[in-house]
Amino acid sequence: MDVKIKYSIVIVAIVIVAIAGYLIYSDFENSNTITITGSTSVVPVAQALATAYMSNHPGVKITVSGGDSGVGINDVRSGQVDIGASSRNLTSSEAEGLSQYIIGMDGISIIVNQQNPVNGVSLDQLNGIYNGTITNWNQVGGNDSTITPVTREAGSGTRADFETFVMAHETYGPNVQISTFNYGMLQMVAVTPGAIGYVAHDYLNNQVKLLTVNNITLTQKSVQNDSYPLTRNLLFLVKGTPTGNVKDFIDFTQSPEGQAIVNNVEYNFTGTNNTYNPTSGIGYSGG
Amino acid sequence: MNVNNLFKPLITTKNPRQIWFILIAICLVNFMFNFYIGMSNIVLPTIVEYYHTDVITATWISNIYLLTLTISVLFLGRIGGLWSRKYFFITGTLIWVTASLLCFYSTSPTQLIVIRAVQGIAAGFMASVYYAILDRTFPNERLGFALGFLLIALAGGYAVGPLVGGYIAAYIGWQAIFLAVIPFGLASVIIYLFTAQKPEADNDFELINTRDEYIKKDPDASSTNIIGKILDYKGAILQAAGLFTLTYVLIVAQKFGFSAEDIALIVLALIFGGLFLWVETKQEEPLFKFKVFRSLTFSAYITGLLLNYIILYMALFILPFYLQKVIGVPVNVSGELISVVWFSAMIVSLLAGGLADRIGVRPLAITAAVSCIVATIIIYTFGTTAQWYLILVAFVILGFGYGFYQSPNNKMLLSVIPLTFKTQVSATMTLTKNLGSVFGNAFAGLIIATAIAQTAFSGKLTLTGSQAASFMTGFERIFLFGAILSVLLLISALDLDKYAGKYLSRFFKGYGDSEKSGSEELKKLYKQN
Repeated sequence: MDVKIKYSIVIVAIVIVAIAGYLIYSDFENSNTITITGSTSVVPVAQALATAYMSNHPGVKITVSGGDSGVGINDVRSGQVDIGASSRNLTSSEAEGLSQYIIGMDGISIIVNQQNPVNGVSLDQLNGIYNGTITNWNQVGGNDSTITPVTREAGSGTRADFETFVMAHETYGPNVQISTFNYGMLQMVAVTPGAIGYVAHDYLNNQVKLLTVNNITLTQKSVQNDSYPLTRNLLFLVKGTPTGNVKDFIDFTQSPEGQAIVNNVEYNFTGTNNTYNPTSGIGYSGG
Repeated sequence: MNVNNLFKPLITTKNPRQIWFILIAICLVNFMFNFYIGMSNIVLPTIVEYYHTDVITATWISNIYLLTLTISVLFLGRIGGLWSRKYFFITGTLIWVTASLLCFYSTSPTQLIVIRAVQGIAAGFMASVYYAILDRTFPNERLGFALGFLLIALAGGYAVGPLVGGYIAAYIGWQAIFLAVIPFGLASVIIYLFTAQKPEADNDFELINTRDEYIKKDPDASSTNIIGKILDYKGAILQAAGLFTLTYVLIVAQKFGFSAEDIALIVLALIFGGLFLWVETKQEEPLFKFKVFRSLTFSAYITGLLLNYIILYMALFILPFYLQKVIGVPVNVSGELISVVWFSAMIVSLLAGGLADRIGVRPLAITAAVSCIVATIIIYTFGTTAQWYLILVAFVILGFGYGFYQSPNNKMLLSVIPLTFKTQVSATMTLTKNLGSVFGNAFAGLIIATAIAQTAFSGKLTLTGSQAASFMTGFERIFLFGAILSVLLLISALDLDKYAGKYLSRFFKGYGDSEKSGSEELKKLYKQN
């Protein structure tokens, strides 16, 4: 036989063995891997839970990636991931065939500039500010200055929740500005004296002022007893009934140990979750 | 049926208008490049939050492109010259556009990084050849205008990218920015494919002649063997390794300052660089002919190109921080203010290109260098309470410093060198701009770190009191350094050959040879400048 052909056969055989080996190995890996995608608001909690769980179960690998609640719901329904994460309640058609687990609760923080003397607003006032009927801070007990309401971009999960609580299908006023990310929202409120905005609680920074809503301060207690008006559930979703590692991990999230991790992430905020601002250092493109 | 008939040009090669179609095709791609960067800078923070990824990963989504483009551009230019610059450009555009479509469908930051790496190499296909195409397409008396037109596309992309990107992210969703660029690439491909080209722009005939000579000398040699000799794989690998290490260190250092590991990597980059030099002197057909630097004008202007980019990118690195954290403007407003620099550059660039054809390159390069000096000095004096009009004036002048410089400089670089260097210089110009941007960002990051720790202001929404004062110390150092570089830029723009040429030729054997080896026609062009 030609030497070249011999070599070719050997190479093909090696490649086949390597691919087969990889497939068997990856299949083995998959059986011990739990994948989670979905709401960015749930991700920090999910990551902390995953890290703690993996340290107790070295054979299990959990990957957590973001997206939004819609991504989490769709991915788990289509079977692409083991667990979907959502920070909003599901519609009845979405909920069909899914098991839902409340792993924690989160409050949307209403924030203003630190110089603003106003300490709180009611849900009705918030609604007026964002639909454009209340335009001056003196209408809500503050100084005579224009209000600059800031909302998040289309598709943001936090915006969807905010609109459910505050807007009730009304449209935004013409004075409402849009920030496309949490840092931008925080920074705009920090530098604009008349601004008002909102962020997920774990993004809160001590350079902006947190307002009470309906005279209730956002705390662990007010969120957990649902007295804070802008409280939402953080959900884990599983297709059908969880089994094996997935069930074990879900059970862990519901245990006292798991709940302590959730509360630590949600309420012991360090204010460092917003350090990334790559609007500087514009890259060269090749042109 | 012959496939080529399908793409039969709709106008003849004799038609004088055809050169404008080529220019439009190249400009569309260049607009697309910067429009994309302008948009993606705006949505990167959104992407980071969407995937909840870390800062390092986020930085790599934008920087991997720079890295793969840098290491591939010299080598790709050579392949393009051998094959067909036109098809090379079109292939690159199609890969780039496909990568953009894949970015739209990507589901993780890791996927984005991998796709962006491929896209950087695709950008290398276009970026390595388009200067050579323009140079061989346009007569010298029109080249400045064409290069000015090109700069309008480049600066225009940067100017409108953030505005459009911000709008798309707010109302449609950030994923859509990856689709917004595709029509420009496809339009370029269609225009380029169906209009006539100058056949002389399509290949590096010198390189093809060399290949044919090798075939004549040794008709039995395999084609791989000959291509291997011409393409200089060893040199390509060494320069890629050197540039990769250097760019990598500069990108990493940009945010955190130099560590011991970084310095070790710089030494490694220098070793690769040294090996590259050594290999190139031994090579019969080197990837990079260092002889090109024997032209003092070329050396001065390529250094000027580097300096101009460093000055600009130092400013672009630090100004958003200054505007957002010291002056206290919202993130989106700071983006709009920075756009002023690009709009200003865009407006003057066509004027500069046209004038370069009439009055020569030097007066414009000198105007640009003086603009850089004035702009850096004004910005140096900003302080913590700069007036709006002063900020706008400084940004407009900074735009002049870029807009007045680029097309005259590019024209000078392309026309001062003989034909044998065209392919190499076309790619080198891209490489120089690329390195200038990386150096600019790295220098600004390193200098600001001498006055204030990165950690002291990265988590802060605003800076006040002593932190603002420390930041301003670093800020002033950056622009003082910028002013010094601007003076060097001014010196590089002067007629150095006149002042120093005769001394240099006395000391360095072979100085000025590169001009002598050019054709008569090119010597004439050289004199015009």
